[in-house]
Amino acid sequence: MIKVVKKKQWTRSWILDADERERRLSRSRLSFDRISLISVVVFLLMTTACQPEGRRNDKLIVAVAANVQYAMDEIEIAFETQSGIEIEVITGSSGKLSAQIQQGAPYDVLVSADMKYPQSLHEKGFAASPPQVYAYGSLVLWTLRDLSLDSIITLLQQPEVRKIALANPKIAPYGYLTIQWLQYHQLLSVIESKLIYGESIAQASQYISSGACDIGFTASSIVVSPGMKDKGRWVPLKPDFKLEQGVVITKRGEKQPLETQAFYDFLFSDTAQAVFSRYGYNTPGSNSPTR
Amino acid sequence: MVRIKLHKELHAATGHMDLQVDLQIPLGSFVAISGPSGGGKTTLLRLIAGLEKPKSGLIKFQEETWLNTENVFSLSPQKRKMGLVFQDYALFPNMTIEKNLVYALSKGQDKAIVSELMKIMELSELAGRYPVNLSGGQQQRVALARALVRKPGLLLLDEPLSALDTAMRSKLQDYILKLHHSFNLTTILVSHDFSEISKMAEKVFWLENGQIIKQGAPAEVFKTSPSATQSELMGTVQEIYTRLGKSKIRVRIGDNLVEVPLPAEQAQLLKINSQVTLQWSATGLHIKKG
Amino acid sequence: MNTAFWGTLLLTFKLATVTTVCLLFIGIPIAYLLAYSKRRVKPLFEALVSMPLVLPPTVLGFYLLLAFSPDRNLGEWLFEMFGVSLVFTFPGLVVGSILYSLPFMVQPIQSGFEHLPVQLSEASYTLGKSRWTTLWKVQLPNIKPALLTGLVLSFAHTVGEFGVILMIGGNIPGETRVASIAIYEEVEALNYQMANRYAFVLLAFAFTVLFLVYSINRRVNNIVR
Repeated sequence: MIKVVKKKQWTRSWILDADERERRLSRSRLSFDRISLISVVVFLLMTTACQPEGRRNDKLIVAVAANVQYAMDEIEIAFETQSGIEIEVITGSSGKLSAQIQQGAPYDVLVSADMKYPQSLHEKGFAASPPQVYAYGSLVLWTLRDLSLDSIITLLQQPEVRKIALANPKIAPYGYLTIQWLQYHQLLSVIESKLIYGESIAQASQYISSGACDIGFTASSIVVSPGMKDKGRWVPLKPDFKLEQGVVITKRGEKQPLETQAFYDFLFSDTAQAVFSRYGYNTPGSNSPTR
Repeated sequence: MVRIKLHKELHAATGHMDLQVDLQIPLGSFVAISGPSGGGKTTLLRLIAGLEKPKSGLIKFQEETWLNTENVFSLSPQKRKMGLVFQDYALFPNMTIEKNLVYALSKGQDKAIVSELMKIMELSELAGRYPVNLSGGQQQRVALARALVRKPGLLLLDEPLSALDTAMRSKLQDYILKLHHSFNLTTILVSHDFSEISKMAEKVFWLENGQIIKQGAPAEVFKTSPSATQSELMGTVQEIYTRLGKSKIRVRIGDNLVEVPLPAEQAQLLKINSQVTLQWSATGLHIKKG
Repeated sequence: MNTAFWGTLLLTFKLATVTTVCLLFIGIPIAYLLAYSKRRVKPLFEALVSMPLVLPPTVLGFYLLLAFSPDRNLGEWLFEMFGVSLVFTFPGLVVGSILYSLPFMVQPIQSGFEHLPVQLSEASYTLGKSRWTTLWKVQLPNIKPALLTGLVLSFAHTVGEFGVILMIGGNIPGETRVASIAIYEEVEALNYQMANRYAFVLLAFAFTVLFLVYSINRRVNNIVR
């Protein structure tokens, strides 16, 4: 019996923050005493009835960078079938996830979008060993509009392209990669005023896929994922700045060495690597170009 | 002539009550509406003022129609030429006394009326004070003055003096009468106080359970005995003493407490808080219940 | 770096001020209607006004994003007609903040109206004054504490707003990058010192504003008394 419970970490944490505040204020402001009393009781019942955040010890919690979530869907199923070990996947931006790990978040493995964050965890003593590259990510330019992607450098400067989405370079590795690419082509200062920063590669992609932005930079894994595959059109960026994506087992994960190691090793297995390849990543040791 | 014919269904704590009145008030007269609490007196006043709507009715002030439900016509309170003095004065706390009166002026009205009213009501030194710093009697004078700034034809008073002590009440009664005459008002006073009504009103309407049970001159309406040669006072029994077959009762009449000797059999018929009428005539002092 | 820091904070307070002022003009009529209406549909509107209290801010932000995206419906029409976009712009944040802080302005004022003795308004009507005059000269001056509460709550709530802005802001420096977003970003980038700096100044400024407001309120009331 395979139970897959997936939570969107990046939406959840600030819902708790903002909502907890909101609920405190709303309790004193609602004018119907009885309704507010009932909703408070219901809320309490619901929260106590839910599974608490602290998990049972037999489940592995894997923190996964936003861009990997689609590939991870398949890998998760494959791993659970093969090993019988249940895992729970939490997605978010690499920066946020590693910050949370440093604050004691109960993650056993961090599958990051770069090497910098897992490296930082290792240096600060939060990881069991140095990070290893499990895949190489690349950027693509994606649009849902009727725009020709033949000469993207010119296109980005056109007035009809009003808003360009990218992930926040400060906290998302793909965002940083995007800035590097823009600087390489000396485009940054030219189009800077059109840039819209998503909190993560996932939010940047959401801006593109919802049409809020005309065009944007996202990970190749996202545009080939089942949900987005036939939406709009995209081109890989040249030169192809590859992003080394690293994985670490956290100090907490060390406490369950058998399970975490199994998962860690699985990421490098042929099965998983094939999945990565299919999702547009380059894999270590392979020279196959992104599709 | 002020014609008032109203029907309204009221839902009080005690149940359903039909307020049904049909009165005519001569212009320039001073009438009172009295009766037990919950009888509909305040509602009647509010209906005349236009603050509430009746089920059906007709209100005419001389030739002006204020309300005619048959024609689905109702003048808003703003347009009715009346002044209303509330039981709790309802002075505007954010304005000084003077500003309270100035606020009442109609557009283009001469400001002189404000100082004139303040003089009549002896409020001139208090002009710059705020309502919160005034005594009850002073506030009531302001409320009266304010109701008259617009020189209305009809003055409505909702138990205006009930919160005041006897001395202040008497003084204010004089003010009201003075204003009634100087401004040629038609005045309707709602009150519980029999002496007050007797002093000021020409006619009383006794409203009980929404119906006018009796109406007429105060002396007629309040007295139970028709004889005019007797003098009498009404009061409430406070205490009853019995000693050695003789009894004394203490009766509160207004602010006074009087002690009256009684034969014991009569005293036994009485209870604390019952209303009594003390009559004295050539034959002596008699006490009657009610 | 310094200009970015102060610029972010200035933007935050600019958003809070603009939102609060707009809300004052929107909130008073709504509060008035809710306080004095006797219609049976009143609970429906009260519930609607209170919705932002129970709605997760991200949900509101998400639906605003969908509604005002320039490539469809409302967003497209707005852009075609007025050249204005409500996503990733400061005006967009103002609209989002107004919706989200609405109950914080409306409810205190509504409560203020409801607790005002009805005789005051009635006295004004019997003196020949219209509802409009009564509102400005009698009712509003006598519910000043309620107005103040509404102002303060709306202002404070907007300063702390995060979820809605995260969804529709786009984190553009000088336009939509407000302090709450900046702090979040610095925390994610593990720049805790920077985050602390933002948070400290934000709190200090907000506290000063609130302190001044309450002091002035007290002085005004003391003069009256």
